[in-house]
Amino acid sequence: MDRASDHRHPVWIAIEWIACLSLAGVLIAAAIPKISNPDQFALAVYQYHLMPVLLVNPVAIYLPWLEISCAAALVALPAARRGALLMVAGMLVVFTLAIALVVVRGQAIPCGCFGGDDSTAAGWWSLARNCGLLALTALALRATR
Amino acid sequence: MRSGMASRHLPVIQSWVLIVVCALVLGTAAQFFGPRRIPWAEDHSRRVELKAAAAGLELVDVARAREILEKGDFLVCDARKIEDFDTGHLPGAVSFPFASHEEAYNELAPLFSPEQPVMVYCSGRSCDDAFLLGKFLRAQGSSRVVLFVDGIEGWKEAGLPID
Repeated sequence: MDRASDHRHPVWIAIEWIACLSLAGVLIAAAIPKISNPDQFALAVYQYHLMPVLLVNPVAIYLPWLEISCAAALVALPAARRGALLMVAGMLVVFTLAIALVVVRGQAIPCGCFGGDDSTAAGWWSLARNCGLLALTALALRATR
Repeated sequence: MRSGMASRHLPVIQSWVLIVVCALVLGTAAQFFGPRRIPWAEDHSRRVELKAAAAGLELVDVARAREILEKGDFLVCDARKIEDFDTGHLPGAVSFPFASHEEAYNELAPLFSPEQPVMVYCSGRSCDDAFLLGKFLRAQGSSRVVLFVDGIEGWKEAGLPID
């Protein structure tokens, strides 16, 4: 980062780092169980019934690595941070809509948010958690301006 | 946009390309060289059935499950969480959540014997709690465990009553 061109108040710089490190931690915590048990995660993705069956396994294979790549960009590549934050926000919106649909349908399925072994049901708690993460992402985006 | 932003940030599209290419390379590498590879495409709708059949569990459909319930000689176990059980279950079923199967088994142990046939079910064809419970009960000595693969969803779709 070109420090000379960064005219932000130090508080915004601190907020940016804290929010980005926190989001990176959550993304890594979410990705590792999915990578260690892709089979279970694929089943969790399938249970949402939101995409053609042919896409289920490719999503289960690549999604956790997308989370890891976003986390790496947030921590190690400040120049790509805005792009990474916008991508994280996009993913969170998609996940939140998927969970909301499950709640509306009244389905009882695991969230899969932290891998297929995640026993938390897709429901109000996971919706609230995602909304909190979206707010944190928005704050980080504001701080990068 | 401030003049400083141009030097601090890569264009968003460029960042996205970088992140997506990284994810594609890492995911593909994991798929080819990692210890936990999965098929590129898979029929998940029959996955539990196939696993259950391979494990030697007898599978039953709605019609057979109904006969079993009418005869009343099977112990029927609902492998879903207690909250799901409370919202509606097969008539006469007992709650045996797989998520806490060891505690549940301690409580329900007097109901089981090697000769007592057991039918297990969970929400439907894509849940595997009933399959896992069936395997657990077999390991505990139940000689006849059948898996009602359609679960509570199939039961309700057939218009049959729940408790």
